[in-house]
Amino acid sequence: MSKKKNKSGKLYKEMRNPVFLGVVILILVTISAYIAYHSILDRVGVNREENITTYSKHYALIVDDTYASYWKDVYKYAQEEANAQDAYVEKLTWTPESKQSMCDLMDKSIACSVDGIILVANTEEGLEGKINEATAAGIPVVTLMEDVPQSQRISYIGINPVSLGTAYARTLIDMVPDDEEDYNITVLLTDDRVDANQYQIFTQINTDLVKHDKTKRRVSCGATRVATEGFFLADEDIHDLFRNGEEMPDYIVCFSTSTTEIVCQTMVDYNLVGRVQVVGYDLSDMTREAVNNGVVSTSLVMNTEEMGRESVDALLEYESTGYTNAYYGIDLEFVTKEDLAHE
Amino acid sequence: MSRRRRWRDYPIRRKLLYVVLFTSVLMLISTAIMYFMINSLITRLDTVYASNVNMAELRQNLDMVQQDLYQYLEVRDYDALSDYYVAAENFRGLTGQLSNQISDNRVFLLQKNIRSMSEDFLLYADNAITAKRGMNVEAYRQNYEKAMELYNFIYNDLAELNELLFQNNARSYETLQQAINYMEVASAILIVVIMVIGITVVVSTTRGIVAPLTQLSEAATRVGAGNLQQRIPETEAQDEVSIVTRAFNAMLDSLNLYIDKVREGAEKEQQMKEQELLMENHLKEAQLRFLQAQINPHFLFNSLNAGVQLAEMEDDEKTAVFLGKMADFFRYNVKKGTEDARIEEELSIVENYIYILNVRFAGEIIFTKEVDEGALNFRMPSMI
Repeated sequence: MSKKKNKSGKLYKEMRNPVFLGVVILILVTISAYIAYHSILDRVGVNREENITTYSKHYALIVDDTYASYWKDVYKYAQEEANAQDAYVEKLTWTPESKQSMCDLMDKSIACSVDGIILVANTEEGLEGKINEATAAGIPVVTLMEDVPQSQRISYIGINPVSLGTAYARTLIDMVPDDEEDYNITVLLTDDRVDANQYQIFTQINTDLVKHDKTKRRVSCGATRVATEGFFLADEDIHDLFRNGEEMPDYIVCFSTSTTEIVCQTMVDYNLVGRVQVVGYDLSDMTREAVNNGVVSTSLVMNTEEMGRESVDALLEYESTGYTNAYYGIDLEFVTKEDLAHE
Repeated sequence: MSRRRRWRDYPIRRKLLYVVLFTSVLMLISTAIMYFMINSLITRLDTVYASNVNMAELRQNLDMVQQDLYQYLEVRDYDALSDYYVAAENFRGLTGQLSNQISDNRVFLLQKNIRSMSEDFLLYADNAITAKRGMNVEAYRQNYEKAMELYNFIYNDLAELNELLFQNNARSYETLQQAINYMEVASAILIVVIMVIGITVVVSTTRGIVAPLTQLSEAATRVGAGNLQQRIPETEAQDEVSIVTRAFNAMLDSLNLYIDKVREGAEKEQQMKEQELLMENHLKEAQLRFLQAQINPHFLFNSLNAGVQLAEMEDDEKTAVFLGKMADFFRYNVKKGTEDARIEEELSIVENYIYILNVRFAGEIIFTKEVDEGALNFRMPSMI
């Protein structure tokens, strides 16, 4: 015990020694400066190779950003799935302001020798050819949410248009009152090509409404094309729809995020909330608020996680086995104000 | 085994030397570290925008390739063709330095894409030239269109890459500038700390040297004032000051010892003097007594003679004889106290003494003598 006391006493005496203290402070300052120096260099070297994660596969996700707002989530889940399998997904976005078209983005992806392409097709001409070109270059292509069925794409991830059409019809049938009045439904299409998903969905809605006892002969369903090629054309088209009071629909079905948002704002501008029922698409911030406020009766929501993960899984499966499913279905649901209240 | 030498055992000169060396080395090390760090930061600063310079060079080369290609395809200018080959080779070399990694970093991904597209661009450009030389119009036009398409992609990606690099480099530059500012502050702090340490060490060392000397000088002053009992605390150190301290204490011990000896001697001398005086005193007393003694016997035997006469007047013959013999005895004693006497005189006084004793002891003492008649005149010390 006395030896320990002597040692600690000696140490205390040493520590009181100003030289000892000074040297300790000096060492501490030098070490602190050195640590700060290295941490600063780490911050400076963000592009140095030791700061990055590398992968062995490179996929491109080409999206039309005007279609929906959920691509950010889709991309997030796709990236997660890809990273787990030593792959990286690069997102290439087309907007009306882009200098490069969707075909250009496809060309670029092929030129960059990516290992796979996830394409959210739009109405642009030539995409089928580009898909075939990519496939010929050994780059597998999967389509997401919008199919190009005539192309050599290896898989389609999205919704069966017939099933979706039936789901829409069921929702509309529930919304239509059980009375003797006639009602008019307008479906807003951004893609009115006959083989496009939207048109097939519209066709199925119509078919189911005509068949159902509640709605046959008193509920008519028509489609209106909303232009998306130029700036602000969609807004003008939708305003035209509401300006004509006589032909104003009782129900409006939207097939994209942007048309849903334009319809919501127009409803408010023309004070038509409650008079026209809206079936929206996606649950962007604006659409969510519209559902909560009753501007939109219900909105179709996709499982973005499934979309992201399945599209990457399709590519991975094809790469490893040479085969993949031609179709991966995505869960969907119609969200109402009550559903949002329970969240 | 020799004892390990401690700091306090070192000579003053070596202590000072070590102190200076210590602070100098300390300063050197810290300055070297700071210099190294600041220097590497400045070097990094110089190279921060190097990547943008490289991108500019790459874009320039791309433009040259495209221009030379166009020139040759349009005019079939062979100078343009040789320029194209040179530019293409340079471009190939520069793009070969780009990263080929698939990564989550946009800069590296762009590099990978640019590199890949550049390879295809050069391939189509070469095919266009080959087709041109082979007079295949459709082929060289198609290849040229494809090459131009890739040229546009590469150009756009280079612009994006350059912009990203510029943003990163600007952040890096700012960070490095901040770092240099921090290093400047750290250097200043270090220098101050080193100065403080140096001053402390020097002050501490000189205090360690000067304090004992001051103590010594104060002690010497007190010694000069007469205080020889103090001592300066000693240490086991072997430096000059400790040696002088120990010597000083030894000197004081010697002084005290010497003083004690002198004092002892003085005391002894004093004692002897006192004894001498005492002796003298005793002698004087003895002389006085002796004188006194000399004075008193005359009175005694005069008184005894008066007594004899009184006894005779009273017709007391025995008392008169007794007192007469006593007077004779005392007279002889005074007279012969310091000189020798004849045997006859001594025998006479012994007879007187025996007569006196027999009066006291009622004649119990019997004294007989046998004397050689011829020895009666021999002299001998009296009253033995």
